[in-house]
Amino acid sequence: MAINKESNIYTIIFAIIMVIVVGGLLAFLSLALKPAQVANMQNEKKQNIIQATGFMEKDKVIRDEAGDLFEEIVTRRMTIDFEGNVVFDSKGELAEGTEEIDSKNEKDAFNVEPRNQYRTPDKDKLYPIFVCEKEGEKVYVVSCSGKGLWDDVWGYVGLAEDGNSVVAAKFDHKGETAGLGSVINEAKFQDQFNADQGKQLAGPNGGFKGIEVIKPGSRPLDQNSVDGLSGATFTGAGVKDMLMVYLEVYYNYFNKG
Amino acid sequence: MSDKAKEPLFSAKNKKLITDPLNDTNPVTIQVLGICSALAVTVQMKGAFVMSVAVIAVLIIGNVLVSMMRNIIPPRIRIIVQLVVVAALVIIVDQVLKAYVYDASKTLSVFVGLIITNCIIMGRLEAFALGNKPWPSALDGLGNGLGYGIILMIVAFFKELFGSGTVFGFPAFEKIGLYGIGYENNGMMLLPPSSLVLVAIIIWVQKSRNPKLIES
Repeated sequence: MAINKESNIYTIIFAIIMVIVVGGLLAFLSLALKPAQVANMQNEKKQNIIQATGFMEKDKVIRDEAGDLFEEIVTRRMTIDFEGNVVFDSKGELAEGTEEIDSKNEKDAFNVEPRNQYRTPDKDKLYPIFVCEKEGEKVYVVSCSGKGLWDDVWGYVGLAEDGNSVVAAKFDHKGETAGLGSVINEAKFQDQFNADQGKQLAGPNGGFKGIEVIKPGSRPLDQNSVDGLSGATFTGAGVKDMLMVYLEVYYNYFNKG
Repeated sequence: MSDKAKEPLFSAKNKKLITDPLNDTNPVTIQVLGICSALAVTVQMKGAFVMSVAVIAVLIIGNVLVSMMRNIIPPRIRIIVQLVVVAALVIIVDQVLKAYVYDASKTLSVFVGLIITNCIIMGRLEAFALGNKPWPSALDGLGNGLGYGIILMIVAFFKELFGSGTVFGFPAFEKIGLYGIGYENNGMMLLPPSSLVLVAIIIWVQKSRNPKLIES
């Protein structure tokens, strides 16, 4: 049977069949793989939160085990707003019955996507707090986000029970220059926030001072500064800004009493 | 079946399909295709390796699919058909990576999507797969993918070594004590422009060793 491949009818029918077949295939694939992809992303978030507690070494927290660890360590999830009012609490007066994560409640601390927060107006910003406990030690994990050189940077910071001493931090980025700005999610940068470094949110004379990312070697480090990365000035500035803006809200909340 | 004697799977002609793109018709250095990703994903050897594997896979499967459809593709929309085949394959690769090899998908992030725009793929579909049987097309895809991958790995090796002092993440310069005598990593090597210089040097070396390639 001879088919005229140049004819309009043939071309159009071919195009229609192709689109239906390919579209159907991709739609099926997307539906079939969705649960695995969502699980990956949620586990990564749980992994990052646990890494920011400083309870164990960062590379000992395996993503696939993060779900169980999260259940075990995170005892309470809270969300506060810009002014420090509690808008969600998995325990206490505001608790809405179950302690399970409700994926539809956008105020649930776990559902707050830290990465997007810096783009929302102040009055709509949500500040999640994860109360983590292990062997009697209590750590508040808080989140922050901002703009690096190319795209979003965000992270989780662990604060000790005094709401002032930094015990660990876990940062991540979307598209910082590989090998330069991208180092913020590696030990070289993050280890400066570990408990043994003694970083604090309050200044030496009290009051919020935050944590500054300074040019390496430009001046001696103190309890309110960490070394930035050479070659990544703008990424460092982005991290500094987000730490200043976000940690102040948390500091005021923890120290308002 | 054709009346001709069946050609062996790895005849001299078929072998040339794999070996030629490694040198004489290398897609990156000779045809100057796929330069964009050679500049962007070569900061670390790990990323370059996963990218090479992904491109080889897409190239082979795309070549075979287009070759199988070569007799029914309407000539007037053949470029669109090729684009749909490549785009669908890339989306499948991206989705599967996200679901099962999450770490690799994070390393490559947007570059997986950019495989679609890799000129080597469309170039091979148009120039080879549309006019050849599936088996030679698969070999052609493999050869060109390897030719691309080799250049990518060479560039990534030098960029990672001089930019971060590591090879596949192994701190080579630290181990031989180069920093002790005052060596510092070259930040320029981590940025895309250094790839241009490296690719140019590779072309120079290649052409000086292979007089066939010199245009008169």
